[in-house]
Amino acid sequence: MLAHEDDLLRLTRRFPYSYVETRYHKISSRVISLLNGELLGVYRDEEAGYSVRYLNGPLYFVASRDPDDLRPTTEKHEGWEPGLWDGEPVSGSYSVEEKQKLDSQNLEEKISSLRDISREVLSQDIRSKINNLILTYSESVEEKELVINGSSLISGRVPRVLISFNLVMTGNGRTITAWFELGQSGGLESLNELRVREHLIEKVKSLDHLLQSGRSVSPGRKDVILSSVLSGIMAHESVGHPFEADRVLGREFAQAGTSYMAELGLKRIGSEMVNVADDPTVPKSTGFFLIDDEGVRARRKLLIKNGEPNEFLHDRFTAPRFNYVSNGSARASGFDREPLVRMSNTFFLPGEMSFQELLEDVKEGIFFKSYMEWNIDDMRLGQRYTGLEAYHVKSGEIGEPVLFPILEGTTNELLSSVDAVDDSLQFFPGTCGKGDPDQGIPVWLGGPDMRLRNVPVKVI
Amino acid sequence: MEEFIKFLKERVESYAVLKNEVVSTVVKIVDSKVEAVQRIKETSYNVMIRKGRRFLVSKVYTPEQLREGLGIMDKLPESRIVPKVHELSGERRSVKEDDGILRFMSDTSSVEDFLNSRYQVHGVLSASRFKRELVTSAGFHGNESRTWFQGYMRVRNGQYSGQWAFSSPKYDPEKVKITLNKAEEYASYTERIDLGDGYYDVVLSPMVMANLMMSVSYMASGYSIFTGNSIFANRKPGDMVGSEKFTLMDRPRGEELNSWDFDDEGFPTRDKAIISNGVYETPLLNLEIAEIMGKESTGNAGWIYPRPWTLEVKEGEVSEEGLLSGNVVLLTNNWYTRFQNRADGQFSTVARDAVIVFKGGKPVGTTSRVRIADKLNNIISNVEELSKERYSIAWWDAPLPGVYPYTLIKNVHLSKA
Repeated sequence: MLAHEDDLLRLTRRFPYSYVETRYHKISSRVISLLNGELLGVYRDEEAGYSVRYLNGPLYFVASRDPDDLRPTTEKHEGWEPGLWDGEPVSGSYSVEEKQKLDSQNLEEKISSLRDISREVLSQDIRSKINNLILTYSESVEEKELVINGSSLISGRVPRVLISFNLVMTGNGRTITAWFELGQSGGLESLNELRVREHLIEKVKSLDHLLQSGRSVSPGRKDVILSSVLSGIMAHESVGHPFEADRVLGREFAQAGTSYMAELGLKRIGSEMVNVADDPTVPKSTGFFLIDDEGVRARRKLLIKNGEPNEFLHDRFTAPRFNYVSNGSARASGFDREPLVRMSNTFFLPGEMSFQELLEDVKEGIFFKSYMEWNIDDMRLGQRYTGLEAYHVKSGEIGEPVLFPILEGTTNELLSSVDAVDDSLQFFPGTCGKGDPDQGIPVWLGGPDMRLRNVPVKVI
Repeated sequence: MEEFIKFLKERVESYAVLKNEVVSTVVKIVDSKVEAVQRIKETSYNVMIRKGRRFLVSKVYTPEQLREGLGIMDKLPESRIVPKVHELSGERRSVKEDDGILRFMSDTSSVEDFLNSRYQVHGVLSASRFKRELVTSAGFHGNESRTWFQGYMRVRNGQYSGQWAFSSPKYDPEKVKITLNKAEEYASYTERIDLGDGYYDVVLSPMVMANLMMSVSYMASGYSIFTGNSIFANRKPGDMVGSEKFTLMDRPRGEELNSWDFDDEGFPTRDKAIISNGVYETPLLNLEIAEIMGKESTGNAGWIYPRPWTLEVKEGEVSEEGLLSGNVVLLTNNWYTRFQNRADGQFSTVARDAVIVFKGGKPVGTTSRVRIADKLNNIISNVEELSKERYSIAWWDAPLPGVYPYTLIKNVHLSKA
C-alpha cells in the first residue's frame, strides 16, 4: 500500500487513456553553509506534489501540489510520438539505507562538525592565503510513489548527502577560484566515508603548491593521464549524453542538442580499451534507483563495448523506434517535471593495470588531476577540459605542478587515443541538466585513471 | 498567507514571507510537430525569520512547519551575514497581465500556425502567469502579477542549423514569426570553411550577448564580489572596466520579463547601470550586503544573495548589416559557458548553430566546433560597436531575460576542437 495510493488511483481514473503515469514526488532538503568557519545560513526546502503524464497524440503532462488541480486537457494536436513500448510495468519498492540517520544529529551538531572542518582547513600551514572558503553541506531525501496504468505500484526513497566547497586562494601573484563537490546516497555515515576533512586539507595543500610552484606548460601533442575526476566528466559528457536515445531522435535538438550518433553515425568511437557503462544500481550512488519512472526495472547498460557503440539509454517512447525495449532510463527530477531519458551513474570501466604501471610508460606528459572549465558542443563531439591541479610527468614520475593545461579535441579523437586504463574506479557527484523546463538531476560520474597517447594540449 | 503572518507577528521580530505562484503552459515542438504539452502549477511560501543575528530561510506549507522552523532558529549560532527587511510599510499592488497569454495558456491550438517552415522546426513556446506576494514584519504587503510569453526555435537544414529566441510580456505572434525567420536565415548558410585557433574580430548576436551578460550580471552581485568569485572583486565603482561604448543596465522598472516593483526585502526596485559607458557604476545589492560594503541597497534582494532582474545593453549607431561589413566572424548562438577562474574572468563558451565568416562584408562560409576562450573582461573592454536594432531574448541557456544588440568585439580568442 502506498501512502498516496488513493490519490494516485483517483487521478488515474480521471485520465481515461491507454497509457497513464501518476506520481507523487517529494524532495525535502536542508542546506548549511559556512563562510570561513562562520555560519552563513541554514535553508530548509520541500518540493512536493502530484503529476500525471498520458499519451493522446502528443504527450501531455500536468503537475500541481494539489491533485484536484489536475485535469485532462481538451485541445488536439498531431503528436510527434508514434506510440510506446507497452511492456508490463513492474511493481515494487526500493530504498537506500541511512546507516546513521540524517536526523540522528541536530543542526547545531552538524554546524559544529562543519565548523571544526573549516577551522582545521583554514589553519593549515601553507604559503598562500585562503581568501574565502565556503563550505556547504546539503542533505536531502527524495521520495516518490508511482502508479502506472492503474496497476503497477512503485515506491522509492533515496537520501543523499552532498558537500561542496568553493575556495578563493591567492599566492605568488596568482589567484585561483575553485569549486569541488563530494557526495553519495545514504545517511550521515557519508561524512566519514567521503573523507571530507582529508579531501579538503589535501585540496588546499595541493592548490597552495600550484600557486607557489606552478609552471607554464608548452603546447603541443603529448601523452596525458586523466584522473577519475576527468574520466568521469568525459564519460558523462561525451558518451552518456550522446547515447540518450531521445537526443539521437532529435527530441532535445533545440535544448541540450543532438548526438554524434545521429549526425555522424559513428561505428567506432574509441580504442579497444574503452568501455563505458551507465548503471543506476551502483550502491551508495547519487543516481541510484531500481525501477524507473515508467515502471521499468533498472539495469546496467553497456553503452560502449571495446570502443564500439553497444546500447543507447531508452525509455518507453524511444525504444520502439529502435526496435528495442526500454532499458529503464526514464527519470524526473521532481513532481513538476516530466520523466525523460536520463543518465544515472556513468563511468568508464576499469582495467587491470596499476596507476604506477600507467605512469611508467610515459616519457613526457601531463597528469590532469582536476579541472575547472569544461564544455562540449551540442553534438557532443568537440570538448575542452582545462586542468586546475595538473602535473608534469617525466620518465614515469609525477613532477611539479603545471598551470592550466587544456585538453581540447573531438570525442572519437580523444577516445581512440586511450591505450590503457588502470584498475581503480572512483565516482563523483554531478547535477545533470536537460529538458524544458530544465531538470537538474543527481548523477555520479566516474572511471579509472586513463592514459591517452599523443593528444593535443593547449595553453590559456 | 494570513495564518503564517498571524503566527509570525506574535513570535518573531523580523520576518518576510514571499509567496510565489507560477502557472505555466509549455509546448515542445520536435520535427515541426507538437511533442509534449506541459501544464505546471507551482506554489511556494518562502519564509525568512530572524532574531538578532540568528536566521532561518524555509519553504513552508503549514503553520506547524513554521513552528518547527522557529524552534530550529532559536538554537542556531549567529550568522556572518543576516537578511534584513526594509522599513517601508503599506500596500503595493501591480497587475500587468495579458489576455492573449492567458488564452494561450488554456488553449495551445494556435501552435501549428507558427510551424510553417521550409525546414524542420524544433523548439518551445511557453506562456506563464507569475503571482508574487510579499509580507514583511515592517508592515509591507505587496502583490504583483505578470504574464510572460517566450520561446525559441531551432531549425535544421541538413547538417546546418539556425536558432533564435524571443521574450514578451504580451502574446505576440509577430515575435514568433521573426524568431522562425531568423532561425531559417541562419540555417540557410551552407558552405563549410575551416577556422583555426586565433584572435578574430567577432560579432556576437543578441543570443550570445544574453548568455554572456547573464554571467557579467551575476558577477556584479554583491555576494559574488564579497566572496571573491567575480571580475569586480578587485574593482571599485568609478573604475573603467569596459569599452566606452558599452553600457549594461539592470532594468526592473521596464516592460521586459522579470520586471518587478519591489525586491524580496520590500525594497523598491530601480533601474540602474552596472556598467555605464565602460565605467563600473554599482554592484547589485540587497540591504545586508550593502551594509557590509557601506552602500545603499539597489533593490536586488535575494535574501543574502542579490541578483539581477532583467538586463539591457544600450544600443549603438550601426545597423546589423553594417557591423558585418568587414572581416568578422558572426556567432549566432552559443551554450555551455564555464569559468576557469571567476576572479580573472577566464572562461570558454561553445558556439552552436551558424558561425558565419564574413570577408569584405560578404559571407564566405560557416565553421563549426569553435568556442570563445578568453577573459570576460576582454570581451566587455573590446566592444567596438553595437547595432541600433535590439532583441528581447530569454531561452534555455540564457534564462535571465534581457534586451541586446548585435555587438562587434575586436581581438577575441577563438579555439577549435
